[in-house]
Amino acid sequence: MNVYELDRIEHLRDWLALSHQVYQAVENDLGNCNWQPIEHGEVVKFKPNVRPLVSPKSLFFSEQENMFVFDGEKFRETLPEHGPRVIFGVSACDLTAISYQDKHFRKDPYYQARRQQTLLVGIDCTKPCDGGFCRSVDAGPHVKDEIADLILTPMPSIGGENTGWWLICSSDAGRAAVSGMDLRRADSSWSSWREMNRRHTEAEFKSDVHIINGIQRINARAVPDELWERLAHQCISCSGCSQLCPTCSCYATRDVAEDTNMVRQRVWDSCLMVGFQKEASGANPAAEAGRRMYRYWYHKFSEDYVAQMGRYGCVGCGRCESTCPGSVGVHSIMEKISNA
Amino acid sequence: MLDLTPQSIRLVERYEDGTDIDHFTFEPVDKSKGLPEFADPAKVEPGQFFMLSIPGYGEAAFTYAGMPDDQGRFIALIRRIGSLTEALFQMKAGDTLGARGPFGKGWPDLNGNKVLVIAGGCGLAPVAAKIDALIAAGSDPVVYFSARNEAMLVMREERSRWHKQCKVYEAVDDIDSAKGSYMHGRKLPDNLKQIEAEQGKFDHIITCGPEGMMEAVCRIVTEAGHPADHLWLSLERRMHCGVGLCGHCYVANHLVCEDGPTYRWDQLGELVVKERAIKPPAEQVDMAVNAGSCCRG
Repeated sequence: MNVYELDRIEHLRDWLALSHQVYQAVENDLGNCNWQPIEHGEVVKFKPNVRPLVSPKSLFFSEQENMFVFDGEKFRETLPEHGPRVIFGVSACDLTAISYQDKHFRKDPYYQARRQQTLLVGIDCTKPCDGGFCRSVDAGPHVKDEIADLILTPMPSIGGENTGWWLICSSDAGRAAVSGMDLRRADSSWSSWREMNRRHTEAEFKSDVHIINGIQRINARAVPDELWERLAHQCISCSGCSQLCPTCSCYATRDVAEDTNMVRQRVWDSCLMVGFQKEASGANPAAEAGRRMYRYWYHKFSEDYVAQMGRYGCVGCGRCESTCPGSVGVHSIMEKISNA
Repeated sequence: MLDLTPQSIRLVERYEDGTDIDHFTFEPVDKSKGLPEFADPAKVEPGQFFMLSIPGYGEAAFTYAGMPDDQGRFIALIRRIGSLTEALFQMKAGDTLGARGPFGKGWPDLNGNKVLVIAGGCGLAPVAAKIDALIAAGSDPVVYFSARNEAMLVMREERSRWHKQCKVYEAVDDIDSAKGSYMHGRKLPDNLKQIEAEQGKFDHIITCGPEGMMEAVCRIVTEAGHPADHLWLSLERRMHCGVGLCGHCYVANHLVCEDGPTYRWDQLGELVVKERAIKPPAEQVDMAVNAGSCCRG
């Protein structure tokens, strides 16, 4: 594996911006962090250890997109078109979610049109973020080689000051993207420093007993229907959890008139909505709110899905907890079901 | 890579075939490069479904009520029940729509077996092509078809043909106002008992209808000793994609569009345990009471 030393992260970003559209999480005045395009030469400081409000999910699985056009006679597919892109500075939880989505959307032409043009630059987290529990669901805090093209990991700091970064080329595409850049080869000490850093970071995570217990109770089907029904009273079907969840992938379709044409769009949907499974006849297999709530968490933590997808559907980012107005995000739910 | 874009089809013919139910025939507009898969008799299996697009109104799943012929013409039995089907019922022969498919798992190959097909109301549509296939294979299926009333005895042309080709039992719930002659019994267990008394034991049973009806059928026949792994049914769920992406048709960790819609009863039973996907009816099901509340799509 090629590993290089890097003084400033922005140098790498600027280099990649020569040939790619680069997206980076940028903090606004309110302290919220969102994915924004950064042009070559633009002076925007890179801030490590931030959790953007949203994951980069929508850069691949668009919140709303056109699928095809009907002109009255024929249907014509409308695939997204753009050049090469870089998503820069993605943390391990979000990268894990992207690899999960890669599997789900492996044959989806719209997702793949974006994904195949995208290089992923991951970054190791050096401290737990607020509400994050990636360690408990094998999704962080460090980036696994197979889920990013390039990985940034910090060199040991001196007096709290960052002294530079190691740049790990973990894929052929990553290696190709930095070829030609003036980089020093790292000596072999990087891997032991990185490993030590990981252990330090993992030791800082708060207790995850409720998460582990909750997972066990869901899989043992030990949570009574009545409790799901009671918890569901707190859900106002805002779908905030599904929107922010980096692995939620459900969508609905709708037809929109455009001049003389008809456009089929797909838009994000949520299994917590009462009409999600409702059929034209009025029959609704998921009419009960408790069943919808069970469904959501079953999809995130069931071993049945581990067998299909190779891991839990939850990557431990904690965004559902921070957005849920009804206190039924992941920590609240797992607390309640593990103590039930 | 999947193709989620439909191809143009033409409405060839439609006629009334039950209360608010029409019998539709479609064909691809462009056959210049051969038949598209959804209209190719070599690619479609009985029990599979296609996605029908009505531009401006969306897309929904419908079962093949008849296999495509060598001209690529295929049949659907569709009930007017929502905005999409309402728009479809305004269309006339020659109008253009869209289709893609075929999707899902069809019925298993049961040729050479003694098969009983139990259908309720519109549940006849997903089994109709299988009945044809079993007849063509010389397997002499026995059909038991039940509906709420005479007006809901759908697929009359197919049934009049089957009456000449195989044994067909018919029952209606509203027997007092019925003009034709039907089975005397109104209760499902009684009728099944009578059929078995006349026809002997069956190797396999296929059933389709409202979920409550199918659950009752499966319970009754398994209690009577029919093995659960020789019992098949077809589920209906809302579908937006047909290819396992949109997530709407979940039953536990299955997606009905890909893993179904046909299921073996014992395998579905495992899913039912996981999610209690199909609930037993609160009271004894009178076969025909619910029949007819169901239609694919």
